[in-house]
Amino acid sequence: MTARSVVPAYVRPTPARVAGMPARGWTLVLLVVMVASLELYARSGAVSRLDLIPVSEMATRSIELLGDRDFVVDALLRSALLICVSFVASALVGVGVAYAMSRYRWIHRAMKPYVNVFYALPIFALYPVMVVMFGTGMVPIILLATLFSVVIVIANSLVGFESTPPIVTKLARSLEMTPSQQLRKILLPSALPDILAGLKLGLGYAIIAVLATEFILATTGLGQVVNRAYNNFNTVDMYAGIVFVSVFALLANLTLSAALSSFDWRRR
Amino acid sequence: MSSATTPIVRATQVEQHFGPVHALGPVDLRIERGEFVSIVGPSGCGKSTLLEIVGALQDPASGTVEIDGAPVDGPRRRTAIVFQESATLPWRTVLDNVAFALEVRGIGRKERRDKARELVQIVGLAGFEDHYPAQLSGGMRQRVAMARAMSTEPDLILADEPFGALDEQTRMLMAEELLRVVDTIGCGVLFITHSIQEAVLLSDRVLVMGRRPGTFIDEVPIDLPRPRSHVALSEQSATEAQERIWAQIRSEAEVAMRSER
Amino acid sequence: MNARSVRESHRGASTDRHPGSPAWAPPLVLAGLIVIAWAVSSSLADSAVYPGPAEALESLWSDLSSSRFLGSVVDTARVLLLSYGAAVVIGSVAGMMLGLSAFWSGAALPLVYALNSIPKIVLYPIFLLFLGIGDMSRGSFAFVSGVLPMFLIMVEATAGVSRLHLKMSASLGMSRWSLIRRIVVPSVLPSLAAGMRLCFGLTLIGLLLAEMFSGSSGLGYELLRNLSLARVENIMGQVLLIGVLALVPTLALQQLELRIRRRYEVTA
Repeated sequence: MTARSVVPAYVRPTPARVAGMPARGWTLVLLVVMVASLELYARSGAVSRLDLIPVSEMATRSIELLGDRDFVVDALLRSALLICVSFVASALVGVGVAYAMSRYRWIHRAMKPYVNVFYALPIFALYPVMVVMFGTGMVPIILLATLFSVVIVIANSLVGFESTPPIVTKLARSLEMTPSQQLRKILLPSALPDILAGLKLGLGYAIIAVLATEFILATTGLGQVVNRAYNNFNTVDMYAGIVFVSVFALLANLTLSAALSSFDWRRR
Repeated sequence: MSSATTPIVRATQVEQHFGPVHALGPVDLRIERGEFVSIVGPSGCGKSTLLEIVGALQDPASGTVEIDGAPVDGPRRRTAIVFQESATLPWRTVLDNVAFALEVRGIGRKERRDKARELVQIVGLAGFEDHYPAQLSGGMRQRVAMARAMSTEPDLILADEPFGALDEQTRMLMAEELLRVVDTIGCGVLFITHSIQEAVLLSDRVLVMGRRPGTFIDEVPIDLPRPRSHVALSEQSATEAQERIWAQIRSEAEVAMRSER
Repeated sequence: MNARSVRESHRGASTDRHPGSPAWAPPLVLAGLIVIAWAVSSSLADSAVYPGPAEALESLWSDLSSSRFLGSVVDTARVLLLSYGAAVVIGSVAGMMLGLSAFWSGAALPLVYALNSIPKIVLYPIFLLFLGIGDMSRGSFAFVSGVLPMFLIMVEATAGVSRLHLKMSASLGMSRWSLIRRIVVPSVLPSLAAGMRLCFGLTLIGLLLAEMFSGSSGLGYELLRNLSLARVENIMGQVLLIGVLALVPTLALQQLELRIRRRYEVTA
């Protein structure tokens, strides 16, 4: 725009670039600035090495961890396994329960209020109970992670099943489809985008639950690596663990998003 | 600076680009005081772009716009824009929606509510002052928008497909309502529509815009006596005008449709 | 025509009603069934690590008469209130400010979303290193757990303000401040209410996790203390208490959200 604008700023079109750089470029700049200032702050000597280490050291150490057999087997693979099991369980149970709720009105009416308020309840308070009943092994973690992630899958799948256009349901009835045909050929495909959105969130919740429970109380696992390093005053390993967990969670979310998006007919 | 002979709108060689897309022009547009001018054209031809440039909602890539003899330098107090019916604010009652423009201009509460009450009467919404837009039909919401536009005593109304979301019968009723309003306050109107019938019924002059980049390909004067009602549409000069406009638009729309899909 | 369309739109706005039993009956029946199942299974198991509902309530009652436990309840409530208030205020104001600029939203949001997908609990040791054990560290952690979602919701809500309303405001020559007060704030109120409800649950979970990991008082600390003492009936009683404490504000916030949405929601 060469001349002075006569348009109030808030309705002007969004500029494609600011200072010659597009928004994506600025994202990178922000990221680099944040990492660099953390690095400089850690190296400046203004902070004790027991509190903060440079980002470069966190990164090197977390890559070293990948070569450590104990870490890979006891922490990484174990946590990944727990996450996978909980995720698959909550996906199957979640879609099933949502289907039952959409099909039987009394189930719907009995469960809907609980689905609505579930995430206001600090479900992690149940973890100590489960530990007493099942010990500190894999079982309480899987139970809690499944419970924590299943409700978001239910909520989203339910939206999907319920937003099936009535005309499509009428079509199914006019073709005299059996309930199982209706589910496979009409309901599931129609609800798929919402179910996929629920599964993406479900994975995120499963990751959070597994890492949080491992962190609070467990004998092994990624979360426990951070916990142990903190308690042993091993600041380097603690930050390396945090960086590792963050990258792990980010990659898992991105991978699943990309994988699920290819099934989503709304995005084609 | 203005006199009785100064046109209310004079746009000269106005052009618009959106990135690599040449959206509009160059076009010239002149509207006399109190004149009703419609622009019809295929969708995406740049009609609304031109209206927004005149209303200072977009900066033109080039060209100049003068309103009442003065170059546009921002939203103008005596220009009122009527949008689609959903431009009513859902959290305000009918009365407060109508009084909105006056409130923004700092008119006192008592004065603006009195004025708004009067306008609510004029557009036929008496008794609905305390209703919320969600409780009204689309046509009634559009009446609210029209009353708001009248509240600032405009000498120019810009209407951007105001009836686009309404059903056919309501459109016709609202068009007659708009005619009545414009006759009452005697302002110039720039009216954007894709309904040829609506344009012929309302206008003194219909401008036909061709496909992107929009330029005017025809200008059709409408010689029908005022005040008008939908009955006027069956007069011969009206049907002739409609056929002439449709013939122009049809070929443009066909080409536009093929290039878009 | 007018009177009829008004009646119709009223009917459209009213909530759908089911014939037969009132809405609260099925969820209560479900809750009753669960309690009965709990009571029966615990009396059948007859195990020290699986107390029934009566024992849980009994021990909760005796807990509530201990001044140390009451102190913990008050501590948690106080820290929760402060961090929740801060998360709502700072998250919504900052979110609205960023949301007003489409370009900078586009630049900054990917980073915030990435940050939000990290299981935040593993970051808690950092809070401990810098702020020490106490109200400051767990309060800050609870704040961070709640503020990011609040912020993200408000950025999206502000960016989603109706374009038509913006144009209408521009045509009236409204100043930016007037726009914020008269258009933006009312437009984002429904999202603000939804965000406040969500933010409450997340802040509470963050706080309890922090207390469970390391604390000297608070409900989360009590849970883990009872775990090490193997007092399961106390844990269960306290879980019930936490559930009730979380549910009451959530239901109130849900009502608030419903009221606001009824009046402010823009139906395109």
